[in-house]
Amino acid sequence: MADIRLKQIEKYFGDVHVVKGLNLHIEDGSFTVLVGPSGCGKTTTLRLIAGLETVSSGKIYIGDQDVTGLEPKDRNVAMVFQNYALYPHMSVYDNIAFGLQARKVDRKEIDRRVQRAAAMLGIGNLLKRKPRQLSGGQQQRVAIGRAIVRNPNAFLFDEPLSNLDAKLRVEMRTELLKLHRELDATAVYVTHDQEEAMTMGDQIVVMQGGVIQQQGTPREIYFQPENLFVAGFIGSPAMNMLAGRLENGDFVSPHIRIPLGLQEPDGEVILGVRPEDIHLPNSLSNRRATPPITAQVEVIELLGSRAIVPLRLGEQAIKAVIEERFLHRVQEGAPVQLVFDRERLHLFNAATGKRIS
Amino acid sequence: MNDSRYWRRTLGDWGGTLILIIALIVVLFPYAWIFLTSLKPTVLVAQPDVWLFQPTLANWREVLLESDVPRYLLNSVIVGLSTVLIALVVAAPASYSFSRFKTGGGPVRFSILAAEMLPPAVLIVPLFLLMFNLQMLDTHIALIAAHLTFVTPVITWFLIGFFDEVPKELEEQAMVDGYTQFQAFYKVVLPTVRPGLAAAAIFGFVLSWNDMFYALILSGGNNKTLPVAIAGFWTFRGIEMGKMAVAILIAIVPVLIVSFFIQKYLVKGLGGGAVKY
Repeated sequence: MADIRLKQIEKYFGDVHVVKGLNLHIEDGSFTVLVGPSGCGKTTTLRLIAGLETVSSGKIYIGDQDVTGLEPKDRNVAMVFQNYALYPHMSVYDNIAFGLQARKVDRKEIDRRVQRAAAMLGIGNLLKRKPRQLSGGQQQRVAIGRAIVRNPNAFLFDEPLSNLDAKLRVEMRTELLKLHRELDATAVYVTHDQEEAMTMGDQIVVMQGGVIQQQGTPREIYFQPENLFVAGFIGSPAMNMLAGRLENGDFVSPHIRIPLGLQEPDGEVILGVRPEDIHLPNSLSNRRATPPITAQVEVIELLGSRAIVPLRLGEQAIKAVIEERFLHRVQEGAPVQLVFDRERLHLFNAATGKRIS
Repeated sequence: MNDSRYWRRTLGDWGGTLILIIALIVVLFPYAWIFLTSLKPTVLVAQPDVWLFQPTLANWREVLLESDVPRYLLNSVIVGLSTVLIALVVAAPASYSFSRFKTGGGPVRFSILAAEMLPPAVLIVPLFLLMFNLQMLDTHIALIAAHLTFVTPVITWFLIGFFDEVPKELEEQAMVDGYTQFQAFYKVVLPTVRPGLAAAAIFGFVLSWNDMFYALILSGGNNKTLPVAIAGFWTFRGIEMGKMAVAILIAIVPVLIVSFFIQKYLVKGLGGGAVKY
């Protein structure tokens, strides 16, 4: 196992600048998730680490070794693709053993490792079958088994769970994490699903437009987003963004004045508040609550023990998440009083999108 | 009302069936006729309207056992197999390259076919002179070389579609697993397109097998191939129809059988389809 360092990576496809000045340190043994919308450069970054793409400039280190110029086969990484890429003409056993055969590992050792990986993944009884005889989930496990047996420096996952149905996806997430603990491996995982990122990563790297927006633990990303993009991308339903001005340390917007006691200079700002941090008066201690704000309830979308309530605040549409036991105080089409949780407010500079506090 | 619809449908069915039967007869008639001719004693061959007769195996015996036709059959086989083998060795990496690296872009890929569109008459004179100067007329090699000029482009073009169907991730996976791209091509991609390779091989073989033009000019002597041998039954003494019929059957029956088996791959190669993994 090894850590991975990317220094000042630039990648162009023709004229398109896909990865811009990327600096990333992935710690040895961590499960790092690269997350972002389509086209943000996360898959390209993964492929650069694997060696399937060459950098336009910059350096990549795996462990102590500068691998920038090395072919994929010399980098000792294992990759799991979205469509599993199982070799269709070979049995499951041969699929898993394939990488070891390339390295001229002795046959008994190959057998030992294949059996061990198969047992770990619960596919021991499938070794003689061909890929087309397996279900999606089973194929997935074979792909993972193939990666495990090689004892690579790092595991690279390219949206491996996207092809599975929802229930299986959730099961496999847990299994992958368990495997990660058992193997104590360095893993780099690419996904566009922010929920997957939050539940799986030790470290999350949010990317957009070829640039890292923020890197941190799930908690940091969720509770202290550095900019508008990260704030809006992580969390479902998404964070509410209210446009307004900062005047004398207070947030001011038509219909709202929230005294914040900030020292920052006046200017255009955006106030971010997550739907679950919007409460009914009296459900939150006075110390933490902002003065009440009136909004118009549009609909009540009951999920079960909670409901998503879209509301109108002047011209702005916001959403709140209200617990079911409080719903009797809320009626569709009627105005309702709300308070925001002071400790969970985020203020962003409207021009740059960066967080102020 | 039910009645008239029923009658219309039944007449429609019968009409359709009738057309099919007529078409079938039209297509199969030549084969049937040739087969019958091969069994006719020489005297009756000149009387095509005679359908019922005492069949004789004389023609078959003469052609199969007493003439050189079996040797010409062997020549056709040797030339065909060699052509296909060499063509595949050249075409497979080439079409992989076209598929993965888009070598030369659209124009080059299309211009491969330009070689196909050349009438053989264009190449025959230079080829003949070349072979004459190399003293290689009437050798297998001369004919194989000539056949390669039209078989290789067709097979290359045919295979590109099959390679396109193989997802790039497959060889990328092999490369990450520890192989060079060429090894990945050889160990993983080629086995995956095996059906395509087989179909291409058979397709190319048939093209070579049926060639008359180059065979006639470049190998008219001992190394004759079947099409030339068949033409050889047209002597200045007259057409030896009975024996020719036998030779014709020897020439076409294998191709018919083989085409039957690869028809679905021909459609796929020419039109594209999906290979499911």
